[in-house]
Amino acid sequence: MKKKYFLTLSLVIISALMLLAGCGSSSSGNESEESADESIDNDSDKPTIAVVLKGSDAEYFKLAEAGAKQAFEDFDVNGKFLAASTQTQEQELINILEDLSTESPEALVLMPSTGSVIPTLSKYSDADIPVLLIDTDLDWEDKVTYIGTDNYTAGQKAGEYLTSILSEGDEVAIIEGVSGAAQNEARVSGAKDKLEEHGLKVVTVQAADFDRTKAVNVMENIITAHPNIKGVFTANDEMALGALQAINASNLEIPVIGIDGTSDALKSISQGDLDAVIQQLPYQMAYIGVENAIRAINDETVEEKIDSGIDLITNENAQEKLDEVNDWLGK
Amino acid sequence: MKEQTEIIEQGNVEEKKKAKYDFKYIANKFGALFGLIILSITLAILSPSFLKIDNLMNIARQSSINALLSIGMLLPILTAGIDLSVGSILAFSIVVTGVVTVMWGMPPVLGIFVCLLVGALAGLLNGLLLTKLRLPHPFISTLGTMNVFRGLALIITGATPIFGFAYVINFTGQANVGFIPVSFILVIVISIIFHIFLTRTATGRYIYAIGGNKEAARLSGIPVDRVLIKVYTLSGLMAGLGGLVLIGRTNAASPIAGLTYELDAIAAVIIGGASFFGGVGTVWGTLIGAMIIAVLRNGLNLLGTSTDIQTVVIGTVIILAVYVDVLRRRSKN
Repeated sequence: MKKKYFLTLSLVIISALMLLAGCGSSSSGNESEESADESIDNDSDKPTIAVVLKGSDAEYFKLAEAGAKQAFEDFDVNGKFLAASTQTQEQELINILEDLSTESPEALVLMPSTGSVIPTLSKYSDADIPVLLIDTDLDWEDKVTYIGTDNYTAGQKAGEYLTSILSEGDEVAIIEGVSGAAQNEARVSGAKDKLEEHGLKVVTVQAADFDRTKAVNVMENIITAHPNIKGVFTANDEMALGALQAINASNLEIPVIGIDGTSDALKSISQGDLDAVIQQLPYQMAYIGVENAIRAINDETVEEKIDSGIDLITNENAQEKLDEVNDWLGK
Repeated sequence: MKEQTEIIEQGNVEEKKKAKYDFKYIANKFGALFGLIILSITLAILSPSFLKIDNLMNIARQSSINALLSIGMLLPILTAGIDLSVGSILAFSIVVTGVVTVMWGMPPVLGIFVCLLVGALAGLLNGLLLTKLRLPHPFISTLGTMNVFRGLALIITGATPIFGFAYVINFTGQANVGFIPVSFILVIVISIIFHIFLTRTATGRYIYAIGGNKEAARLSGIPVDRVLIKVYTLSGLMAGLGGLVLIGRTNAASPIAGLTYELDAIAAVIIGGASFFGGVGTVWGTLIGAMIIAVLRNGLNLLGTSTDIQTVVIGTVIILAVYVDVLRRRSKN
């Protein structure tokens, strides 16, 4: 009797694994459809490139995944894609990097969380495997390049947009994310510098921790304290949508601009609610990452820092960008 | 409930009476091990990298934190209890260690003791809440402390990780002896100690007895409260030890470290054949449960399976393991 149960258990596990092996191959690009075997040593003429992300629980990561897989297909490489479940679990990302290192890919494209992955990355550099960082830079000298958005420039571009629709002397509020976080500081100082340069008055800077609900409360307080506010910059999209909710509830018309370009924000802009966002391009980061990984494998020069670019999204192009994002996400 | 536990006890006695060569007995006792072996063979066939020494050592390293927490978790589960706070205790222990060594400059060797002590004290608090305040079930008391310790860890650090630990502290989680990770050697040593503790000492037997039938244990003169306090203190201590390994692994003490680790630990204990109703379970089974989870994750990574699917697979394995337990009880009835 008992023997039967364990046999059943084992069989189910095995069949689940077989199924998953199937799933794995169909999702990791075209190459595996040609050969039933998943082993990456197989197509020895094609380079093997691994793309690893720090998280998979946000649209941002799904877009990067789509970019990586498109690049696997376009450049005809043996692609291997893996991601940790959420970016706060650094241990999981380290495990993935360790597991992959035994497979000896020819290049690694990584979206890291923090410097805690550096000891593991040295396994790659010791084995002469080029490592390219995307989205988040690390203070690690063996990296081939960093591909991402310059947050200060993104902040400046947002500030520029606000100055273009407001006039000198107008009062502006800034809602920042987590005070002290490097990405937040760069975005806020970029926006602030541009606004003040053009003679706008930043009357208040308040933190809402990148959180939509907190931004609603913060914006309500700002409206009470500074009734003459003419524009708002928020350090991400979630807070922009929160601030907008507070503004709409008070029947005011104050333009809000955020940074990120989530589909929620794009939808809001296309419906004429949110004014504008500065869009980061995770799809391009991963795509450019794979493209340059091939250059690194072929010993071609790769620039030390590559800007993946940013886009200003307003009512004019929001629908088009939304369609593009949905297309990448396969919606 | 009483009937059930009596039946379990009878079952245990019957099993011992049976010839050791009885196939059913062996299948029952080593079921999880068979599962692990079959899983490994399957993965070895599917992925050429699986059996590489590097990869096997990766599995040893990656399983160690969960193995330590699981061995700690086994004790409350043996008493028909649970400890939901181990992930938070882990985080609390490591951030306190970070504060005293990195910020206050305490000698790192003492920092190791601080890490273990904080874990044990946090566990002691769990035990006291359960036995002295007479909270109805450890699910409640440890759910409370899970939040308390997580919150304290965030407050102490201002929600930012602490970096820059001395090598002495990082040693357990980082170093290798030859090619074997120190953390895995630690797991083996701890397993042997806990195995002896559970099978050869009076307290160990009391733990099984309490899980079998708490009231009967009390009536037969077992100091139930004292044993329960020890159980939760040890579980906390193991969380502190797991934290020490985690510091070395991530080179940092983050206040959000160890989120949901309690669930992985519970999963390992259950997959390893322990019963949620208490009184049934072994250290070796638990260790194998932790290995099965680590091997599954590692193998699925090698196969390039997405994290989302991995989560579904682990969940399915837990349900199957519990179902096997249910069938086992039914067949005894």
